[in-house]
Amino acid sequence: MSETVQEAPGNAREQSEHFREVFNKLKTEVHKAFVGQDEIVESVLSVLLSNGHLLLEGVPGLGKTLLANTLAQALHLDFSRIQFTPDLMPADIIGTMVLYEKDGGGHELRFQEGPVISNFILADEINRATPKTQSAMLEAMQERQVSVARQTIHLPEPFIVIATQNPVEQDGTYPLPEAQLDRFMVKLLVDYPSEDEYLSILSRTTGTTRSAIQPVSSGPEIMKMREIVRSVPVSEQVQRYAVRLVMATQPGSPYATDTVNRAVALGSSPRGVQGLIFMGKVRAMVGGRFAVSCQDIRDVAVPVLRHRVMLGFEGFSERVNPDELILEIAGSLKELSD
Amino acid sequence: MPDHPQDTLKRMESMLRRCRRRIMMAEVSVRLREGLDFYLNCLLGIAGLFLVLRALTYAVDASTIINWVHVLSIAAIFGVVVLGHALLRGVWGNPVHVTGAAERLDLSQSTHNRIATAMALLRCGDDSQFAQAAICDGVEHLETLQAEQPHVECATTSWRRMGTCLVISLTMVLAGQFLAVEARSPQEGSESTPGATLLAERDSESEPAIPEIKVTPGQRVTHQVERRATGDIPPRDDDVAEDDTGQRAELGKESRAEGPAGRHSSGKSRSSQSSSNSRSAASGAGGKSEPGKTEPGKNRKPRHTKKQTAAQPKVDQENMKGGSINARSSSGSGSMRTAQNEWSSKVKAKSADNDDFEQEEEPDEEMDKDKQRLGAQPALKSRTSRLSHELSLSMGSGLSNDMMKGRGGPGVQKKARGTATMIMGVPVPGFVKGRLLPGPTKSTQEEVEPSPREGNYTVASELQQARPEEAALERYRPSAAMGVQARDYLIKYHAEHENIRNGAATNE
Repeated sequence: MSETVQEAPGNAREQSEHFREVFNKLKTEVHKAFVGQDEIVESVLSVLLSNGHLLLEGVPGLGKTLLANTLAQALHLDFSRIQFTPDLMPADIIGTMVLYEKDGGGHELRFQEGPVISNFILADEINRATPKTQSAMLEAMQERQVSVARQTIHLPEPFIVIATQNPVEQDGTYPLPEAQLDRFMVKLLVDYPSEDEYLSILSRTTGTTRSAIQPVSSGPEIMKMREIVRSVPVSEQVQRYAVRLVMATQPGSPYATDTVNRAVALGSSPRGVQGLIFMGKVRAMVGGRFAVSCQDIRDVAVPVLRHRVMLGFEGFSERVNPDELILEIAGSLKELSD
Repeated sequence: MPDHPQDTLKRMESMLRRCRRRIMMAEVSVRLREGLDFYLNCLLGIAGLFLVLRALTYAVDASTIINWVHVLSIAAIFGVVVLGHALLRGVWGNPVHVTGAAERLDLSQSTHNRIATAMALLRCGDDSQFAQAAICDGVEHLETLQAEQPHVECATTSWRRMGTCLVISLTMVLAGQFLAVEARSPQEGSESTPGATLLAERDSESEPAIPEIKVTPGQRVTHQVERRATGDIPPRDDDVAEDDTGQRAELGKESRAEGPAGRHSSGKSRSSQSSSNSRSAASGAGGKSEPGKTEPGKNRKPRHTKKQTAAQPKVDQENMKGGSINARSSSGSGSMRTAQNEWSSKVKAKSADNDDFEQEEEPDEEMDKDKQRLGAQPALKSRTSRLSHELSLSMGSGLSNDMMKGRGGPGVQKKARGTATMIMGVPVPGFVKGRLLPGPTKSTQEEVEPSPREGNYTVASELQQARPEEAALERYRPSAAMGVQARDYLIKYHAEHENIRNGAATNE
């Protein structure tokens, strides 16, 4: 092997090793409080390093809030928790102008920051707020800024929103609009723990000892890891595969299956491809590889695309499962470029 | 000595070319497998088609020239063509290039696209650290694979499926062939029935010179067409039907008495057919046909010689003298009113019933049959269509959907009423996501000037004292006995309900 080819990767290999080391440290720290659900924890960390936002869905009591809380502690970042309720207003999230009395006399309007101006946002039960309040998060999530009274305030980096929602008790909830759903890079379904995990939860939570979460990383380190993720190369073959996978979710496209044409009303947007590639890059790095493979794309396809596939009436009536649909599409697509 | 990216690329390409033979073999095996699958499906189709064809010919008493030899020949030729095409397609149709080889090698060895990615990065000249690392990774993997001489997985043939398909195909072909044998054997057996013997004897008495010729069902139909064309069978028009009213009445009786069993496949019916057809075939063949030398192809061709035309009146004369024996002579001329014996009527009735072809050709056959029936018959032509049991909106009435709306069911056009649609068994979600219909939304607003209108005002009046006759309402007062009875009933009623309630509470 040449010197140019062999010397250069030395740095990349070190970076890759460091990346994996931090990733595993964070995972271990989160697992101190959050028992089991290894894939969920890996996906949450992948979203964090992909510069995306996360939507967690699960019935009450599965530790969604605990997961977000623990991660914030492990990252040593500013943490805000917003409990979404029907009477929550956009100003409660973003902040508002407040009239202050000056020291020397007189009054002035000052901006009072809302909880959204933070590194780590936990939007608990986001579907309980009205669409107006939910929409207040749109600008923050996409543009990483908020606009209040002619002022534009940039949000601190890293900025990540972890929203939770409850699939049951739908009375009095407002389903998230497609525009906002699309802004979440990943939607994860938190399932019930296994029998051994239950025992572990009991031993950790009902005894006298409490596990303290230590910060193992910081904001600047997360930003550096994000840069590493961005520098992972993706070949055209893999890019094409990801694009075809996303196009296959859109009814009427040349790659759409019969089921998609019949059951799906709206397929994934280009944000879906971006999410696939970012998540695939993190997966490749965690797997010790320097480039993304088609298998990485397939592995992250379900969490990235499940909330971007909107079923039509026929899909609802036939009880089509979006996860199964995406797996079917991913299995039917050919990797070969010719 | 630094290794230039182009040198690395060339080295990778040379290594991939060495792997290409194995990859191409795998590609050919995939194509062959696809071709074999297609061929097996087609084989099943061909065998099934043969079976269906045989079954149809058996059902309509026709003959076909296709037998198992033809089927096997077609299958063999088709197999050679399909598999040959698949082979050629695998070898030359889709040549495996170096990039394709890298991708296929990645796929077969599960190397996470390392080799193909390395080649792609080398080609695009990406010199970032991670790209260089990925190239190194790919080259290492390719060298390892080159040293190990990995087995590229070929497509495997499912011998079980192939065997199953072959057995099923063979079974269908044999079944078709068996049907053909079955279709032939009853005709041969029917010639020895007593009725056929008797008819043959009488035929030989009337026309001893005409030899007996075996005729296939297909030929029989053809000959009847020929005979009708030449005038051997009279055209079935109204005149003839009226002339033969008496004769047909008898036929109708007999055919009704026989019932459905006597319609098609009885031995008598076949024997009478064969006897009458033997003559027609002989006459159709003319003087050229010799006994035992008649060919099916020749029998189909209409041959009308002068000798045959001249012999026709002679046959008719004989029929007039000795009474008609065979079906042809009995129905030969519409104006003849010959004395009918039992045999002639049977022959005619059965020959008329058996000819589905005639029924199809002549729509007024139904009317003729009606005329054959005795007594006053309803006008069958003007019968309304039977009630349909179709489970559709129109309830079989044939009316359009617009007329199905509203109360009262199907009927004339009525005012449509807006009713909610409910599809049973389909869960309707609380919300239906979707897009609005495309196009601009148009809203019109009409400006109306407000104008005062006269209203009907009610003039207020003072409350007045009600009149005595209005105020005092006559109240129904039940008799004492009735009151006691009503009271007893209500007490009993409430006691029963109380008991029921208490019992339910105890059970819970």
